[in-house]
Amino acid sequence: MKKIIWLLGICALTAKTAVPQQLAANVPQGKHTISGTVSDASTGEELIGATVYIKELGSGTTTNTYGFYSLTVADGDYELVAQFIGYTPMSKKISLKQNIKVNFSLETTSTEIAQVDVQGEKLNRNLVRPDMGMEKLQIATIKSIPALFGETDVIKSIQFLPGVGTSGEGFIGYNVRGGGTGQNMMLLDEATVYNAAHLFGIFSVFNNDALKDVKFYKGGIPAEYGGRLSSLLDVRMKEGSPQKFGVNGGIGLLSSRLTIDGPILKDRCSFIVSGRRSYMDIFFPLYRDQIPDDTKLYFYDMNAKVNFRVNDNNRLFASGYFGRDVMNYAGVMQIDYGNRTLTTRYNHLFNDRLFSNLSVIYSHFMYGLESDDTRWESSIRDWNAKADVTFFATPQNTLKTGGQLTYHKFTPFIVKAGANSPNYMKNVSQHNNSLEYAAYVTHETKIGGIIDVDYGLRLSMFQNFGKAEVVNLDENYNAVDTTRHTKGVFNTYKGLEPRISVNWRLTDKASLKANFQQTYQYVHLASNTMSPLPIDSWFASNPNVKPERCRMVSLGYFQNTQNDMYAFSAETYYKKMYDVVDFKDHADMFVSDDIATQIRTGQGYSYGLELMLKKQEGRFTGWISYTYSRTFTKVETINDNEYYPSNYDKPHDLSVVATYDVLPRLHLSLNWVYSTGAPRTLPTGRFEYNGVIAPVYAERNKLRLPDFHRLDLSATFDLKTVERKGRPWLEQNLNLSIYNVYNRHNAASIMFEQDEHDPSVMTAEKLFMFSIFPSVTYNFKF
Amino acid sequence: MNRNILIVGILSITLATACTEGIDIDLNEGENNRLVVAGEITNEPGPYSVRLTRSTSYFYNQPAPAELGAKVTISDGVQTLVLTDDDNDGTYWTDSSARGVPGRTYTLDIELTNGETYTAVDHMPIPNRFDTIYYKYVNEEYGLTLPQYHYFFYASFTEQKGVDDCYLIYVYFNDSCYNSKFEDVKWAYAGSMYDGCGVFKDIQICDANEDSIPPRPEARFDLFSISPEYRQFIKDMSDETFGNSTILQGPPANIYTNVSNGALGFFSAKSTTEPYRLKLEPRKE
Repeated sequence: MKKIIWLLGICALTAKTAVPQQLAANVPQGKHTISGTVSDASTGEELIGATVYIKELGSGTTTNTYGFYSLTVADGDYELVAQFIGYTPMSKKISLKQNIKVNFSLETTSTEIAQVDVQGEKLNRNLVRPDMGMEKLQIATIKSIPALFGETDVIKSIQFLPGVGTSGEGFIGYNVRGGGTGQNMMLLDEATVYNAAHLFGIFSVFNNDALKDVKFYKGGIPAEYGGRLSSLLDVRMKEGSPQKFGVNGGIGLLSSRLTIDGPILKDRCSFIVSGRRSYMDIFFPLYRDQIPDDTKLYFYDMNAKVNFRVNDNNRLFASGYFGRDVMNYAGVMQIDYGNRTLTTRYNHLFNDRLFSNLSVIYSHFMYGLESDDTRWESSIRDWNAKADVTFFATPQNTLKTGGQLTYHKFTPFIVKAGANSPNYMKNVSQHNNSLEYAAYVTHETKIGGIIDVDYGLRLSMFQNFGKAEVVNLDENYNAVDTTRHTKGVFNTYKGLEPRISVNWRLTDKASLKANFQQTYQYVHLASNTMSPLPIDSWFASNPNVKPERCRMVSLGYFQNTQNDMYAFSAETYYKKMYDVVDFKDHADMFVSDDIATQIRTGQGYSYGLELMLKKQEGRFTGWISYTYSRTFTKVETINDNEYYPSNYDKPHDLSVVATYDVLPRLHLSLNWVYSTGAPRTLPTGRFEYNGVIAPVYAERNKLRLPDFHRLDLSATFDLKTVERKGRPWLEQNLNLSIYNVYNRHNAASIMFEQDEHDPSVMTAEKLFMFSIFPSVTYNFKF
Repeated sequence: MNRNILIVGILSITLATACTEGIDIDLNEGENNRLVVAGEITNEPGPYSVRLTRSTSYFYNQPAPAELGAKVTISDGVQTLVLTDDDNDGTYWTDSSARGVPGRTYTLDIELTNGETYTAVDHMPIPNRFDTIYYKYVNEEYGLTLPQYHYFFYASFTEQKGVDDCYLIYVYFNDSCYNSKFEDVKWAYAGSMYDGCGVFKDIQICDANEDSIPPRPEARFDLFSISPEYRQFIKDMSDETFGNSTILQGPPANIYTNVSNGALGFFSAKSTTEPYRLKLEPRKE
């Protein structure tokens, strides 16, 4: 391990020092740079990951997050080609004698409403890129997957991928390669989303209509990113068309949505605003015998973004999200929660090969519980500044470096008690202030045309500072006294996070990949995964809680056949996790002096094999994925200090996702999922105490729920396009979906009841979340 | 915030689409035959009892088998009480002259007919007393469970210095216990958020629906001083036996016990003083 760090360190240092040297020098004689952007011709939106290559040289690159590319090659006459799936390739003849800018505007190949969204890049990307464990999700695919209540969703789509499990039916939480739900970083335009659930997870905060690009990493996380052990979901919002106004939306049974975008200054400044509102509670009167009057259950959210192109070298973005969920039971008890994010970014092109970005980001998550006249509230606030520089050295070498500083402010709880409540209830916990720093350097290189290597090093550091009271624990984790800090830094952790991914192209149609990564996590989630509520406790490392650490190695084989129509992959991994957290037995999840007294730390490991066969083109597309995986945890004081299956240890997991274009206007979709039942700690015996029957448990998570499986279907009819002046004016479709077609009652949990008449009799009941559920949604686009 | 109300409310909202149905589940029950102890001693006049039973498989669905023929004693270093099971039903009794002394540590010793021995130790704390108790009569609906006419009772008492003091509060109306269930018992303790308060002031110790209590009752309030270990046992019992929803609590876990050698249950030593009494006035329309 030390050798790897040493080696990477040397490489990183070399790369780092190489940047200024090359910057200082002119481009080698006889070489010049072609740079520019690739965008959608109809909307003007830049395309992320589009391929730009020089036909004569057979080498090229892809556009970055901002649609920018740069290629430095020898002078000459070339044909430059830009392509992106779903768009007609475009080529331009150039004569390279000096640095030039070449922008591409690609026309879409289809006008169908489901296809106008961002599509993937080249079909053989899985072979030519070393980013193993990364999945670029296509919004069109996400929209085609049948979903609960007809509400398609990014996170629900992720859960169909191999190596990704769900925390429970209808839940938004997911587990990646044996990692906990709190080990997944979710970014919306670079802002951290701490809880992505709307309505307990039926919806997520990611509104498809406002999304441009979705990348999901279950391994091979670039050194640019950190902060979580297991995965990264990087979601980017659309910028809005700088050319024409557009309106699109959908009207569904449970919610409706509307998006408006267009130019503020033509071709220079654009905006997009997208909003959603649910109204599930209007159906509650139908369930009057179960749900009392005045019960409310709804969410609303809004995405907005403004994009201003100052000139060819400077660009500004500002984007934000605001969402709130409200659940009020009978007017007497309320739960509300929500996220807020704000991202401002400045792109600057120093020259044709040196691209930079500066971001300032704010994110906020809060939840409150209110009953009678007492309110309990918890919140997290992050202020984040981030700078990145990318140097496109040659078509074979790209260097990237940057840094990040985040200020976390956690407020574990505030209790606001009303007039009727006694004084002792009025309680405010100490704010928790911390700083998280990171600096990184990465180098993407191609060796001999058959080996691609992405490697990098991230140095992260975490500090607690400011006014704080930190409890001192005895060997039994009881608080014995408190150390009071008044100002300054009083605790520091740091970690080196080497990352390396290698792709060896065995043939044109097959490649072998390997990856190693070490990740640190300084903020933690102690989660009760059984809870559908947003009452997870996020907390920061402190002298009592060390950062979590993870090392993972993975190896994969990738093969495409029939002109990339079929893609097969087999990946295997082994992951070791250190200082992971779990609640102690009988933890008090709400009000406690210090969360350190309620949690315990330990270690875990997981391993697995992930197989996937994907059909990428044709009228019939989709994939089958199968995962065999195991994950175990050993946490002090729990389960007699022995390893036990983690809450999300589900050895077998099978997903089938298929879409079939029956007619040009009729598309059918299907998904079927199967997984081993989730482990549960269930009683194996009982005892009586003063007439009450109490459970006796065996080992933690020894038993399992029944196996889970479910089939969903959907049909999308493209309705007649309304034309005005010979051009499409209104495109529309109708989506019908059936969730849980064969009405399987999958157990979410098992509950036990003591018989009212004969107290010695216990019965078991399963709780299931959803029966068969049909839904219909009308989508439109002007 | 009433935790039970919260759970019921949350379940009702979240599970608007959810349902329950019976399930046959194999709990892999195996061998379950551990000694279970339910016993206590107080500073009130005896006799005191210790009930001995056996644990069973979860779906045993019959009364727990009694443990008969055991030798049972309780000692505090000064006196040793011998308990007998004259009815041969698994409940062992001291004689009626027995009485615990606050400040002493009590040890329960059990020897079964097969020679196995078990021990449980609990310390009887110094008793405390209520300074005041008052009530509010409310004639409007409140929360989820309180209809239009109901009472709130508030108590104040002084924290004992230098002690991790824990208390159980029982409420009686006309000598009928109103909060005998584990989940209804009120407790107060100084080990956590109330530490250093000096005074437990205006703690809401009971809310009572007028229709569920006798008219114009005499209310009696018992304040028992208990050990932190017994408080832990009661909390665990409440967590694991009420609804076992695991929604507002951590993962399921075995209930704390102070009995040695793999047995279950608890032997407690608790103390109290004269109860606080109140006469409830008739409703004023």
